[in-house]
Amino acid sequence: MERPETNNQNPESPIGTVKGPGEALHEFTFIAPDPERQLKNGEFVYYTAPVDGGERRILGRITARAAVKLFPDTFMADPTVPPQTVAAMLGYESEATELFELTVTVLGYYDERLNDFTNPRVPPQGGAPIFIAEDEWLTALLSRVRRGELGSAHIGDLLSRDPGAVPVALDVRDFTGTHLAIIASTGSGKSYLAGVLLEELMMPYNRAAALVIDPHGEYDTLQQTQNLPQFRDGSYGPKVRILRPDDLRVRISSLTLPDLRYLLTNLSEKMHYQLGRAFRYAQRTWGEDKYTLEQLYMAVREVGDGAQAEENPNDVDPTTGALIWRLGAALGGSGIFHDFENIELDELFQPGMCTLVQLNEVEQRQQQVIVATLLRRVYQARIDTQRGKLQREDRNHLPFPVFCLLEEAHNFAPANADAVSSDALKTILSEGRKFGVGVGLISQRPGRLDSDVLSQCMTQCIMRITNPIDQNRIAESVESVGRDMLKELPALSKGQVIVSGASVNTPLMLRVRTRRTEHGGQDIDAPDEWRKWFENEQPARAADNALLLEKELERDEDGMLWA
Amino acid sequence: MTDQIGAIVNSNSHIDYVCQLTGPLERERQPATDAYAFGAFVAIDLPRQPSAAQGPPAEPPSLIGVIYNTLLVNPNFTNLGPRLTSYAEQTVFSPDLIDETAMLVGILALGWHDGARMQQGTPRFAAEVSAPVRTLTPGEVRQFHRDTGGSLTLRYAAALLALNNPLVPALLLEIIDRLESIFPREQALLHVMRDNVAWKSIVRPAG
Repeated sequence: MERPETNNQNPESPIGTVKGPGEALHEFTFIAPDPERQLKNGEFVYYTAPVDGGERRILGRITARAAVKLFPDTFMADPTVPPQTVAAMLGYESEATELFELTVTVLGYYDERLNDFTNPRVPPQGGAPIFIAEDEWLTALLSRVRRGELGSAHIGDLLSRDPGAVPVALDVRDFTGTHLAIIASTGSGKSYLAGVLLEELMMPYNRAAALVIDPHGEYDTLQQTQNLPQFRDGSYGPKVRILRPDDLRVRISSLTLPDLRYLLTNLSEKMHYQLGRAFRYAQRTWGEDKYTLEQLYMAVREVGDGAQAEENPNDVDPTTGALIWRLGAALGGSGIFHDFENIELDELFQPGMCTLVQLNEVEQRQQQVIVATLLRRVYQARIDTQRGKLQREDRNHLPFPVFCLLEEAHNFAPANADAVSSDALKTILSEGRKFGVGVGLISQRPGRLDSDVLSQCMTQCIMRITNPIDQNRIAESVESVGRDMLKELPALSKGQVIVSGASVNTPLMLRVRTRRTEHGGQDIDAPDEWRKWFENEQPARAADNALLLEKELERDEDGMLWA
Repeated sequence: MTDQIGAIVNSNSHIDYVCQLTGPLERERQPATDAYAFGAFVAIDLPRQPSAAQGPPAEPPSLIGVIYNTLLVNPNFTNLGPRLTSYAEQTVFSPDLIDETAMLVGILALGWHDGARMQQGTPRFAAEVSAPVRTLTPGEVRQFHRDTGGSLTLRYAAALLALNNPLVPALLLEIIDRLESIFPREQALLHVMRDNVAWKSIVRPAG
């Protein structure tokens, strides 16, 4: 990263004067008239201090703002008489009618060796000037990577500055390695932000191998990246593959015993025991990953009570019968679980390709099993490939890191319930970094998301959250966001996001950039749809009815009248 | 220009003067009671400055003040002994006794007139003993309360309130009431100020 200008040559005039130390050790306060309303919460300011024999700019973030001089309330008794007029009548004609005390949390100077901010622990002198950090300097300082560089994801710009003035790019290396969480309430733009992130991952400078678990089927519009020139570079063009529920296949033999137990609800102790024995019997007899549903039925019968079952298959004991019935109901009737077919990993993952696994219309337990199976297979494939167990010609050979984005993550790792996908997710979140499996979790209910899972995501994108339970969960699980930032959560508008953690140098409040593709997660415009019904559907129905009326009615053999 | 109502006889500070009203033996026409009423604006003549002598100003310089207090001086008060002359005969037999009975008014200087224009604020120059005092005409009061931009100004209000005198809130209310009739267009602005003073001096102490 380029070293920012650190000499004490300030072309701009100071915007405030240091008053003294703040409440905490790393805080100080300064006084400023701020007539141009520049000093917003979250704005970056700096002072200069001697560090290692030279003057350096010490950056800080404004965390509180309080008025120390305001017009008396009584001057505002008549809305038609501005308080300035009253003050002017009394002889106070100055425009400096307000004064603010601002609290600043010191971040420090950027240490290129540590790749982080270092607080020099040199407090500013009382009366020292405070400057507002310039756009260019901040741009260089806040993001670890520059926009458009290899490994950058430009998701927006600094909220406290003019649109586009300070673009911020996340470090893709960090969030694909140490995971990402996007947390926001409904309608605050989390799918939009995820869309922006996926666009960046598909850019020629990233060419990621990404997979999106999309329970609502709202990422279809990412297909447009294939046709947009911004995403092309030479021979490179991103691919977007959509797997609809009909295309999904999970081979029955790839399900683990916990998967089966999870899919078959209300199993008795005896059924659990028998299912376990049957599962092991099937694996032993036909080999791991090589048996069918019919063979699983056979295994259940084999290990079931009563040898008479073999002689008379219709006379099975009740446990065996119930287990087979449950297996049939869960696996037999589903179009997803299949005897032989399975989605191959090389169909799902490829650098420069984004696969959208749409799980709409799939029952939630099945969704969890599909996700658990998928994550487990990806993780195992990466481990085996890394360790050299799999070669290029092998089926699950996965010689590149992958990134999986999970929408509605609270369904896959719920807080107070056991879901079969929770364990697979937790394993990847804690160990995936070593093997290049990155996970991005998107949730609108962090309160319902497992706190371990949330705290393992080292980059957090938090948008508007008004529910206090959800706010508390964020405060508990997300250490990198300070209390001052969390206070902003209910006040954030649509498309504004707090980004913190590994991918940025300091917690930031950003304005999410405009998407290059269309946004697919918009709500249905109900009044418009109703109006269309009257314009199109109702006349069509009326015409159909008119046709029917013209026909003569006939009576069938049961005596019913038909047109 | 109005008639003289009295002369400065004493001062308590740079802006606080005592004026003795013209007595019955000094002039034929006594000042009207309105002229020295509480809140009446007056002018105290200032000596001409030598520097200003080159170009004769239109009017002599003066302090502009307001009457904020009234005191009666009666040397006969507490003198309960018998007197040989009736009050009607005193003007003949003991005129000095009549002369010593006086009415004093306190004047706070709120600004000055330098000969060319009027300004509000603490005046640089002080009045002298025996300086004549006269009331301001309504035109002069209006002029005194207009700044150079033509806006209504009440710069002295803060200085008055800072005096911490129990009569000041009532004085300000009286002044504002007078100004409301002189400046009908600025009534809303004056109302805000009046309500502010009234709240602090009437409602808050009683609450």
